[in-house]
Amino acid sequence: MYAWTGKILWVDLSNGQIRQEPLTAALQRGFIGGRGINVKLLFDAFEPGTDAFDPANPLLFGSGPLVGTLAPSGGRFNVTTRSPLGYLGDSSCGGHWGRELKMAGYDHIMIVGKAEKPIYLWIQDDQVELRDAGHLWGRDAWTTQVLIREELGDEDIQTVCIGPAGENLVRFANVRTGIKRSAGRTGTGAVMGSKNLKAIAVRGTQGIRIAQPEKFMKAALETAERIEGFKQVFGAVAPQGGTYGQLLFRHNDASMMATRHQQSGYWEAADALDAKVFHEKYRKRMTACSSCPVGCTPYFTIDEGPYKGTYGEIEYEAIASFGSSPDIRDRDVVYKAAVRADELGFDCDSGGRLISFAMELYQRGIISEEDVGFPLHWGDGEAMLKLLDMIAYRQGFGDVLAEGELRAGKIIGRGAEDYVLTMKGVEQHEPLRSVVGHALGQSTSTRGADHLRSSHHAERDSSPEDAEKMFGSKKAADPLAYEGKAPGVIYYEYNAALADMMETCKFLSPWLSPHFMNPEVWAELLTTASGIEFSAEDLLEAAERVINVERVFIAREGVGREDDYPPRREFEDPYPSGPFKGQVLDRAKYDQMLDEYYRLHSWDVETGIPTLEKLRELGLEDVAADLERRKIQ
Amino acid sequence: MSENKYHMLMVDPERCTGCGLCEMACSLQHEGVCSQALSRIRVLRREEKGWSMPVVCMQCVDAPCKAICPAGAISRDSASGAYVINHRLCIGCRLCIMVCPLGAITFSQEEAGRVLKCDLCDGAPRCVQFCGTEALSLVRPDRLGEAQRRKVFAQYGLAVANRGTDK
Repeated sequence: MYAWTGKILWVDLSNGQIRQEPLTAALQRGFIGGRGINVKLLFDAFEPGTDAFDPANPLLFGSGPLVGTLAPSGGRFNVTTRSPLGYLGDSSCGGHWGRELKMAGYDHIMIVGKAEKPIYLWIQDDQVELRDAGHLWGRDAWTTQVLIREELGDEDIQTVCIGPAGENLVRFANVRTGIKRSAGRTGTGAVMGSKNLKAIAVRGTQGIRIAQPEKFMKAALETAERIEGFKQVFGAVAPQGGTYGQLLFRHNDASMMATRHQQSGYWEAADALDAKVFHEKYRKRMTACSSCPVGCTPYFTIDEGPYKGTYGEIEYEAIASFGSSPDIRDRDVVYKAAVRADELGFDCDSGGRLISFAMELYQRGIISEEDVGFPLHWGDGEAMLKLLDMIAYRQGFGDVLAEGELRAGKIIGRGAEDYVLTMKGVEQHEPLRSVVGHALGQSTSTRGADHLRSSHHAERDSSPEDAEKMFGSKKAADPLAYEGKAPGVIYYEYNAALADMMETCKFLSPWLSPHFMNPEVWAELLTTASGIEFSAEDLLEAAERVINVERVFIAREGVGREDDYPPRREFEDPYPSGPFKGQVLDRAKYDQMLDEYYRLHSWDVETGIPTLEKLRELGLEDVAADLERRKIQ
Repeated sequence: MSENKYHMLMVDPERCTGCGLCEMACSLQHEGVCSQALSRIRVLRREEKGWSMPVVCMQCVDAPCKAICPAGAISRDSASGAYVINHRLCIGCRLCIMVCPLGAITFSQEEAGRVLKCDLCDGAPRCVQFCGTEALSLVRPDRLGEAQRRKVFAQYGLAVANRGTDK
């Protein structure tokens, strides 16, 4: 076998049973890898209605066929499960663990059951064992990894683990690897915690066989050349590489910067966190995930002041989460919070929004000092840092916030529900009033509010002529227009899914720009690596198949058309300032756009659920039969 | 004196991001698989310091591996300057691994293990070709140290020069 290792590692934590299963050709061809195969395995194994914390909820880790190869950015993996926050739990992660898993000889890991006491899984090629994790329980996400390396005596071990947040079932806890990388969203870390699984440590000494080495090397080099321009702006060789360096002002200019819990999309204080100062004073070096020639991650240290000695790596999302959203203008506090969330092990997007949610409730008098234990004014960095720990350890008011915004709103009551900003249970982390296509993409995302499933970049980045070529309408290049947005959302949706199935980075995919990797480039890489002929059309059809399975998965959990809308605020509360002052989304036009989106997908317009005909056309007879049997469609 | 004609595989730890593409390129070139274990170049990482660098054979002028090999299996390629292993002569004693001061020689994991070391890909190293940040480069012998000299010049030399003219 080439490209894939052909093996799934299957672990039942309830009885300690461990076995290998073959990765079938049908899964490889039909679902490619990573998120695609994870989702199909989850769909088949999951009994609808099962609670996320039920031991029967499967937890999947999946790399892809290009992982552990020369394919640029081929080093990622997805974690997939029933989400304790929303419905579909699924998140992609960088770092080096995905490559190590492949080197150990596995494409996927499927975990079921629950261990009696804290354990971790240790995989060394064919030797797989469950080890006691009593001494690791309670440790932060980075220390856990260091201790495992020390205990097993190998510094090259790569580990995924949870921090205290995952142990304490914080509903947006993440799975972490390295000092920075996370499978961030949808609370997969809490599911890991519910299984008493602290970590999965891997060391592999095998290799990924390549069918046509010369041709594959040529394809990989040509791909690297395609991303050269991007590298010069976002990469390690750029003066201000990384998302923080490049996106802060770009997002603020587009009014996409979460400000005071999305009361605005424009942060008047953005200059306070100007990345130029960060790169000159704090950044020490740039680092990369496995096989990525870009290297977009800045490693930094804080060398003076109260947070002296802090070190970590940072992305734009953390800046919006702990900067603009809670309106914190002290950059040391923002950087410290980003590192602390990583140590505690929860998603900064959800975590940052929870804190600003609480601050908005405080602003409106819905909660008071009595509820929280201290005042909670906008911009109070010390209060934010306190809350981060209170959430992870479920102390006091932190216990309420640890439930996620949707559940916290219900627990608090007193009108707090009106200010809940979630989609499919997942915290909305970007305001959407000035980016209509992006609003549709986030709202229809199968895993809930998120920019990484579909982001209509053309409405911000393309010329009208290019937009017309891509989506049949010059208007698609206008961020405020509703025309040409549904086809764009689907285009980005498929390409984002493909990046997650190949397990290459979305930044190098058409999710951002068609000029980097795209279905043709992926097809050439996959064909030469695997020796199996794949066309761009094959890959796009596989992506459509995956989106449809995901859609049926959430439909079985009760998700329908009513869950494909942005929160009330996006339609009702005009932006108070900035270049898009006064902007709101138009509900009637949004409805039409959503109709168009369903029709283009051949899904039922009333329910948003895939039709049986569509599923059968995609070769998903089993999924169609399941839907029919349950009388959902 | 003949030493001077060989290019040198230079490592710049300041530019290394730890992506490991060099390992994938090396093992694919030599073994037809992508594998860290089969790579002649190895990336070490210290994540809490944001630091990483590849370790690879420096093709020593006075090479301990060649000197100690009891089978006479290590010789220098006259075109590339790389010390190469003749696997027909190699007896697998691994003394070369013991004496290499850099730890740049490794042993493969197959049943009949083999000594693995960098052969500079006959003068066109794949690792250099795939390195995205020029942390690896093949430098002409007369240009050795040039990059560092230019960097120092840019930092200090130009600062001094500008002091007189920036008024």
